[in-house]
Amino acid sequence: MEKKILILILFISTISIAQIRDEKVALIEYSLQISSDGYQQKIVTTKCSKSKSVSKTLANNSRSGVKIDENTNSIAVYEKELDTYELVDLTKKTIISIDNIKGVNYKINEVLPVMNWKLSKDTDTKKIDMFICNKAMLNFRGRSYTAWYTPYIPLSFGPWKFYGLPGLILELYDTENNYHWTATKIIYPSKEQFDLEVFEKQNLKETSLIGFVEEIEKQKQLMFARIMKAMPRGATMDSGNDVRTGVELIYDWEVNREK
Amino acid sequence: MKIYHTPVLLFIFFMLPGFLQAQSIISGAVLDKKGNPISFANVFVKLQENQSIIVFTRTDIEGKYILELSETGNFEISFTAMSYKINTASIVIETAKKYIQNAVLEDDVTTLNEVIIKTEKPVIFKKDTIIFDGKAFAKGNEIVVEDLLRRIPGLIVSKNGTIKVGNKEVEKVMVEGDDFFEHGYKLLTKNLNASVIDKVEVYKRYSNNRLLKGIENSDKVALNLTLKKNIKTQWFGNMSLGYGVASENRYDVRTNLMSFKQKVKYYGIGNLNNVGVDAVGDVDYIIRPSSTDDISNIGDDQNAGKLLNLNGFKPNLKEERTNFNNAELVSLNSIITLSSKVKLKVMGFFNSDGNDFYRKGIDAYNAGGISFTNFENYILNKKKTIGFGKIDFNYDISKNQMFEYVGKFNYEEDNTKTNLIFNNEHTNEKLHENNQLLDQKVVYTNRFKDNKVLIFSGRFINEKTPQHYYNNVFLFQDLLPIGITANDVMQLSENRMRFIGFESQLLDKKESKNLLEVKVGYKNRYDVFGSKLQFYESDVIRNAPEKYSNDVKYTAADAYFKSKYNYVKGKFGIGGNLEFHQLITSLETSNKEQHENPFFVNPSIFLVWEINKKNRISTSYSYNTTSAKILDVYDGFVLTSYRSFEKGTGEINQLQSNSLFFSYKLGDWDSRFSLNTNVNYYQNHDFYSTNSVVQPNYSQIEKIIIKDRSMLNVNAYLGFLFSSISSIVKLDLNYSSSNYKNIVNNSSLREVHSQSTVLGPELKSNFKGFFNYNLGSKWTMTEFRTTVINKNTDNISFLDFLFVINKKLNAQIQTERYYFGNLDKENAKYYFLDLNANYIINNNKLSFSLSAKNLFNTQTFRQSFISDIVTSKTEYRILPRYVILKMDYRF
Repeated sequence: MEKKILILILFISTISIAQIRDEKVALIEYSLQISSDGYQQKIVTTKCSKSKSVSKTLANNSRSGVKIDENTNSIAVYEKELDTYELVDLTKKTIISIDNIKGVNYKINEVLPVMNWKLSKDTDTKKIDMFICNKAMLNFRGRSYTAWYTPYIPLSFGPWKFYGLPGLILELYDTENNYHWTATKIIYPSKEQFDLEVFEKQNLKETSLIGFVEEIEKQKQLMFARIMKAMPRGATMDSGNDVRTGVELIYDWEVNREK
Repeated sequence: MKIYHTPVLLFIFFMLPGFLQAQSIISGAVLDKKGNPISFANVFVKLQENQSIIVFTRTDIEGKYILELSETGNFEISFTAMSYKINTASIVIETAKKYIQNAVLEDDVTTLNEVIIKTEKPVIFKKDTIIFDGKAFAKGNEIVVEDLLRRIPGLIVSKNGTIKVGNKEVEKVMVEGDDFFEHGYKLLTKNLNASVIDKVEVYKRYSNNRLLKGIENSDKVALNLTLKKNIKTQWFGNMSLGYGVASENRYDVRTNLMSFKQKVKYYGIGNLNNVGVDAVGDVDYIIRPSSTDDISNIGDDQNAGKLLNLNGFKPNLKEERTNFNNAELVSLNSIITLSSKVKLKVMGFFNSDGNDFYRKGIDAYNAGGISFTNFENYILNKKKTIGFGKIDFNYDISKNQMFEYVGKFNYEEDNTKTNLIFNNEHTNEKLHENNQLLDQKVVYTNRFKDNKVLIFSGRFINEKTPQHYYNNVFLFQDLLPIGITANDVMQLSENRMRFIGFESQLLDKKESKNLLEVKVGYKNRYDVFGSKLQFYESDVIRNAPEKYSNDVKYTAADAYFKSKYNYVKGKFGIGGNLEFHQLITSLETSNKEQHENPFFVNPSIFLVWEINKKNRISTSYSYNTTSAKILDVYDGFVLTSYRSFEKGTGEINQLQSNSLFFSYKLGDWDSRFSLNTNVNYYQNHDFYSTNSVVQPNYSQIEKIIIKDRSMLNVNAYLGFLFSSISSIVKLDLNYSSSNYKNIVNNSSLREVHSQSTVLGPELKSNFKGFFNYNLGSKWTMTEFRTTVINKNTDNISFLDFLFVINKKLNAQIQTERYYFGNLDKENAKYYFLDLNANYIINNNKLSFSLSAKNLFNTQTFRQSFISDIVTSKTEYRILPRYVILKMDYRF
């Protein structure tokens, strides 16, 4: 048995080395329109090859800081944002993300989730610039998405964690239009290589997805406690504030728990 | 019957192929020219006639794939991989067969050299405006606007109706660019019918004056609703009906009525209550919109003065507890769009109120070698009527120019009667007073360059406040020659003022985003102040001595230049104000004329340094010269209550002062531990102090100018969060001290030191469940030190419980305890218990609430005050226990 496993691992690693050697990288730039948390625009760059994609969402710090408005008697707090990364690896069947809580970067490991794309049966296609795109739909972690992908660029990736279509995703949005990615630039082959060093930095806290989500929930409670601290007598907290507004709204383990 | 069968048939149709294992399977391997497998290549099957992909998969590491297909017919199977040419083959699929389709991909050198994609985005984001089509987001079951707004991406509407864009609450919600409500927008969003809305617009970086957009530093957000064309006039609104149960007759009724069309909008308000609430508060935001930024605010601080006030001290309690009232208010407001460029707003209200107020006092004087005690028992009854009208005319001359005229008219008439027992003597006072105000403003704005705005404003105000006072008891025997007596007192007094001001203002936004502001202006205020005191001995007039009347004309004109510049770079911010004033003043009293034309400069500077996220220091310094106002310069004594006279300096003068401010913040407001300290230090080179003559029957206070006063105020606020995030501890610390001098009963200048210390700890829970509490206490220690020391310690504590049982039912219980150290033990403690419960039957449609006030039925409330000459104990009568059941209904 041991022998078999060893051989298998050896086999895989040689192949992946071979792949890296002649892997050409495509660079796609998306513009991301976020409506769920104020109206915000961000830039996402995705580098991908046939088996791997690394997306980087650039921080938009145009509004970070504490803003106190005496007119409405409100305090708005925007944490300083950091760049976030997602590495989708089809070979290893994993996604490694880098996300942050209060300025601390975490390296989050998860098993490659199934993305059960439904291809549109109707024949409607859309021409995005010079590319004819087909439509596909996906329910993923609490949001329903519509993607426009082009089979003419045979890379099965898109922005963020998205993967699995027979072509590059050029436009993607959820049905509430809270997140809307649109490709703005494509370069192939790119002179740039995968910048995998960001995933190997020393100051990263390594955790699982479930661990990260729990940490966020904990920090949120702490945050509410601190807000209450600053409130005058008689002030109450509107619990509506603790709804998630990120890309992921609900996780697999939470779905099971609810059932 | 047909409808019944269809699904069944479909079911069979889809299930059959699967059941019979009718799926065809295509498998194979994808290789390159050299015969190496291509992993992660895309394999997909299309119908021959169109683009639609039916099934797809990827090759595995060995380049192999398997595809399952349930359809049959002629297809195209394509193999694609990056750096290879597409390979497409035709394939005919029959039911439940296995096919092998291998492919060899040719190398490809195609490159995509910076393809820039231009697309039309489905949601158009203009620079600072985002427009949503109401129809596109409506799902049909929206009733009021609030429901529709919940559907718009990016808008967060909380349970209680607060609307936020991200974390930022919206400034206001306009209808067709017009606004009645400002922060009271919930009145609109919870009542306006959703079906009339065409588009929802979100304005970021909003400025109230459209021409100041981008120049003013604004991070405000506002919403605008546009209405569908040709909607019919609809009246809608809400009504809140409250009636006392299990207590004496109490009522509280409010109603709002609105109608919106593109050209005309109406908004009406009604309020009727006897639960102590001043109804004018309901229209406050219409009369004095808070959003008038400090642009073109010339004359805002000008008003005519009143010297006589019978209401006196108010206790340190919520006003509703001691205000026995009977208020009625109606207000009607409209906005009329005369043309696309011309808009007219007309607003008005009428208010009448009857107030009763009860007070008993014991004042122990101890100063200037004399000590005595006065007893008084006051029953006050006041009838008040106010009529108010406002016209706002707006003319958008062009894209860069705007003209506005605002005219205000106010008429208030008050009749106060008191029934007073002063040291066993019964007296009846009557005060008839009114206020007449006419206030007009014109503003012309011109944005002559993209980053520069010029604003011209002019203001014209006329106001007078006549007061007619009568008292049937005579306490001033020593003011009359020996042998002459009197038994009644009457005083007529009036301040009339006329203000004219012109100002031009330049706002210049530098490329570095720093704003330069320059103002040049001229203000002229002309006051006439007259008072006449008369005594009566059964209809025979006895004139009061000469110095108890006033006939003063005072003109203060000010030609000024002001500039302000803020500069921010990185963690440092620095700003400065520089003001030059040339005054032209003249004072004409009954016995002299005086002219002074001083010139002075008022500089100020501030500095902000954000050392890092946790530490922030800011400091400011200013040097101020202020010029005397009419109520500082009158030269005769005026009766200001039944037993006190006041007098100004009788001379024109300016006062100089320095003030220094320093603030240090440790920790962000959301840190586990936060500390916020403020230090204020004022130094007055000269200041108004008093020369008082205090005696049992009456006192006389004269304004005098004394050199050197200092005031220090230290404020510390401490917040701490326990490691368990379910409890929060807060601590408020405040220390202030001041040193000044005054004269009492012809003493030499005596030093007065006063200091007060406030200590306020608070404990709060932060439970996730249905129950939360808040417990707090505040000690105030005051001390006045002259030759004698007056000391006092008061304490107010509270304990609140909050229950949120479910979305429909919540309740709040508030308890308060007051303790006054200077009162004897039996009377030193007071307890209050209030309860409030809400039950929502139908969101935004019908809800009930039960509100119980003063459940311990505390009848009286005593409080003690101290100053450098007197220690008072005052007793107030409290609104007895009542319970009101209220119904809120939308129509």
